Amino acid sequence: MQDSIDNQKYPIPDLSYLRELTDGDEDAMKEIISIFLDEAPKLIKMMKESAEAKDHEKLKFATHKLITQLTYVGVNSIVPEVKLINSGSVNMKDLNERIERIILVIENSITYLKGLI
Amino acid sequence: MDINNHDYTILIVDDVDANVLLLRLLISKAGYKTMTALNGRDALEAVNKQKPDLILLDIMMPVMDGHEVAKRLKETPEYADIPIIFLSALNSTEDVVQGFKFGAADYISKPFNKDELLTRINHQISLIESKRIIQRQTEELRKTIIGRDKLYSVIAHDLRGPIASIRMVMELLISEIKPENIGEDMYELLTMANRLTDDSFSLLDNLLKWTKSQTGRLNTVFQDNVDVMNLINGVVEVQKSVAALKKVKINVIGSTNRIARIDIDMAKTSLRNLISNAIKFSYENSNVDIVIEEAEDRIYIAVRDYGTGISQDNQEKLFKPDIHFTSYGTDNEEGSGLGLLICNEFVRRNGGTLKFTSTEGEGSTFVFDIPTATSLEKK
Repeated sequence: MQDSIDNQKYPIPDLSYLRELTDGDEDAMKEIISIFLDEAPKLIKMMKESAEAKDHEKLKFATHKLITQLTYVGVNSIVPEVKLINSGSVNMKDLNERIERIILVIENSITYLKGLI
Repeated sequence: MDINNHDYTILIVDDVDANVLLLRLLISKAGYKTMTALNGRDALEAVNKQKPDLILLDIMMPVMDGHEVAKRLKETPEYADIPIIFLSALNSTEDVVQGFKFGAADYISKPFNKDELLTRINHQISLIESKRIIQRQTEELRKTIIGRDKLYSVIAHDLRGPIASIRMVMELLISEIKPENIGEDMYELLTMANRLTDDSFSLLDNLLKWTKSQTGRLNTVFQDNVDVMNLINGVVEVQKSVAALKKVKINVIGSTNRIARIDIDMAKTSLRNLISNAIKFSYENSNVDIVIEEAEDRIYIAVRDYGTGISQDNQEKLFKPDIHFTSYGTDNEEGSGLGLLICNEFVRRNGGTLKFTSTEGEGSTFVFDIPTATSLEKK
């Protein structure tokens, strides 16, 4: 499995953690990535809708689930931001903008990861 | 401690498929059997179907969260002992403390470190294995104790009756038959048989009482207004005939007119055993003194002999139920090692204390006290 990508705008997902957890088991890695590819769009949708509806509990749930999965597939650059939203979205005036930025990175990562399996 | 990981089943509870998949992969590779559930309700159903040895439990889940699962399991006696490791991305100090309040055995933050996860799982499994070993050994010990007590009890009960009958016959014979009628040698044999029968009966009586006291089946029955001097004289009279066989003289020194509230049988058994021991370790033609002293709220009864005494080493072995200590008397009389244990127990039950002093080659003095009240003094 090749990690390289020519996209310069967004960080490349780092699969070293997943490789370590699976002891380099390619099938297991692909399965985890597939789960992420399946789950991430649903969580993005949930994040977006709950932010717009100011449903902070639901937003907390979505970000909570996203944190671990982003870590597995090595989309680490946005994890601190997702954690911030998870713990304090109520006080964020620029919540929607932050979420948009996060979504862009995730969508780009999805494109990258799709190319790996 | 050898642990076979294949013998242990770990339930993984997480609503994220990726977590379940990774955890199952890691745990299976470590040799453990796994079960999985995707929410709290399914976890409880899984536990009902097959009790796991350990649960890895996510906290934030739909349908029923991990805290609620832990709470319900801890409330169910059958499942309360299953250790739970919370595995959650909620990793603030408050979250961790909350997890332990819900009965967590450990807490691991997500994303987890593979080695840390397996180390913590192995640690919990070691604790489970240790607990099971202790439970198995406790059960084995309990069965052994029950078997032992049953054996003692049966021996004591089944033998005590016939020996008591033989003892009565022997006593009757020895009181009715004159030496000149059967010859000195035959009379001596009869005397020896009488003494052995008496010793055997005392041993069985002690054995029965000790077994009962150790198994909680011997109640202390306090009786009011027990005439202490009358009790002492009664025991001494019986023991005088035993002492006479060894040409030992029993002297009662002092007196009391106090009354006490005690278990008569226990007091008699204690005194009988102490005098019997004193005779056993006395040489022929020596004395055994029973010394009675009154104190403000108790009476001290000392049994003093001038026999073999007890060595310093052996003194430390007395009163210890876990050490079987017995020694032969001056006439090679055998003992069971139970007499002093019973004395100590019965004196304590009557509210007193048993103490002793002894010098090897000079003799021993055992003294116990009986609580009395001056206001209860006999009129």
